[in-house]
Amino acid sequence: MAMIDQLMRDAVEHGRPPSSPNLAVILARGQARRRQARLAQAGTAALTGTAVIGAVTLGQAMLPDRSRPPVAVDSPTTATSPATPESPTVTITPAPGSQAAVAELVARHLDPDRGHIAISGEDRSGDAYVVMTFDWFDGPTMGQSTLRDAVNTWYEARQDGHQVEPLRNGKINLAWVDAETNLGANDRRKVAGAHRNCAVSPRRVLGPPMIWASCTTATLPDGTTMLEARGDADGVQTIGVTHILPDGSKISISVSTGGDLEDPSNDSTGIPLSQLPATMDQLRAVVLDPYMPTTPPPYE
Amino acid sequence: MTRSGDAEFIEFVVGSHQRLVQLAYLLCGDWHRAEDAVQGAFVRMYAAWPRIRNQAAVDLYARKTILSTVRDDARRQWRRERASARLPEPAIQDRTGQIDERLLLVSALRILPARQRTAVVLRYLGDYSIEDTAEVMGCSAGTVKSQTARAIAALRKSFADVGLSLQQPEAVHPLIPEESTAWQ
Repeated sequence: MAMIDQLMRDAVEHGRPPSSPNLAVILARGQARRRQARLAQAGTAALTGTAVIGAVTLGQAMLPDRSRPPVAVDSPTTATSPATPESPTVTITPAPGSQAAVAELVARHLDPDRGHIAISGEDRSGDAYVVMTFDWFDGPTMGQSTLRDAVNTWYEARQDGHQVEPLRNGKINLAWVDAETNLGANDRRKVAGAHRNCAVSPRRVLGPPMIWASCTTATLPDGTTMLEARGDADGVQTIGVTHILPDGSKISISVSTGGDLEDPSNDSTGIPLSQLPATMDQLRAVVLDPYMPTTPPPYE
Repeated sequence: MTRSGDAEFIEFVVGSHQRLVQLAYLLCGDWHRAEDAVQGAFVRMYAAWPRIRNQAAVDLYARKTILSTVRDDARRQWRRERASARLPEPAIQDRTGQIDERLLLVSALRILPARQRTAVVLRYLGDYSIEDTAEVMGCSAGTVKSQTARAIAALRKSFADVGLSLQQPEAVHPLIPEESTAWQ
């Protein structure tokens, strides 16, 4: 008769030769994470401490100049003053182009109460494109604890076979696409249809490619172009905007009611949202935000 | 982080890596995902290292982080992998039966509900007390007991289905009578 504890030890000790931790990667990523945490903390403190002085004090000098290359996340940052009640006029350099900073920016426009959005992954193909993906969750447990804990609790309850109230799950894709890469080509396959060149479509692997039902083009006061598209496929509604920058590169964001764009028939992560969680105006505000980096965040 | 802080962290990583990978493996059933989860957990721990004042709590913190990372990963992976309600037929026959039992155990763990799997792995591989397991899982001691008992009952059934038997170690107070099917 096998003893359960001994069997577990045998299973792991004889299952695979011992491996070594990659210390260089752990330390490098750990240091990057600490920098992001410091910057986020400083940003929060600054926003709190300078509520009155606000944007005027932080000033135009802080706005990134889109004609300049963005600051890499690993570059040294300017010194920040600790935010204390005695020093409310804090001057900081905004978090430079990190994933955390971009996620914060997206949440500020689309989810100001911070109860729905979680980063779910990213996909990149060299410099051709980078897609940051976010989940939008909407359900009975949201807002009662941290978003990740709430979703995991729901997920585990469902896996355990318990009857749980529906968790609705949508998807947000934020993409940077270079000038040479054709719009309308997603990361896996070409997009068909009359409006195939309208916007960077959301990731879809197993389902059919997104076909935009409508598309409009507008020229902004600065001479750049904004594309706005709407689509409906497999019962999943999607809207997206793409800002074409002067050098031809693009920043695009789309939001869909379907939580699993790769397989819309799979409800394992929840059922589709009943309505789009964002408006075209909100998406436009994301890509036009002066703090939106023009090149994607470095790999983390 | 100071140099001494880095040195302490590196010492912790080197000293704990193997057993944490083993723990993650039994929680997720895949060596590669286990290593990724542990590396991700170490990255998160490095960021928090200066704030972990009570070094005695480092191990608990590590396991909590591993558990959280594995759960996040599982949620993302679920769309691509579907657990089967039935165990696969034992594919390898060996003279002693040890390999079959190990494979069977890993397979049986994978089809357990997540909380049952976590409870039984922490209790029997991690040698955690009920209270420490409850701390890592973020639940009550009573929940740990019930989840562990259900897990053992399910594991026993999986073994019995293929003509094998599974026993709790004598050192641990039995949570469920040997032949009971009360939890099934």
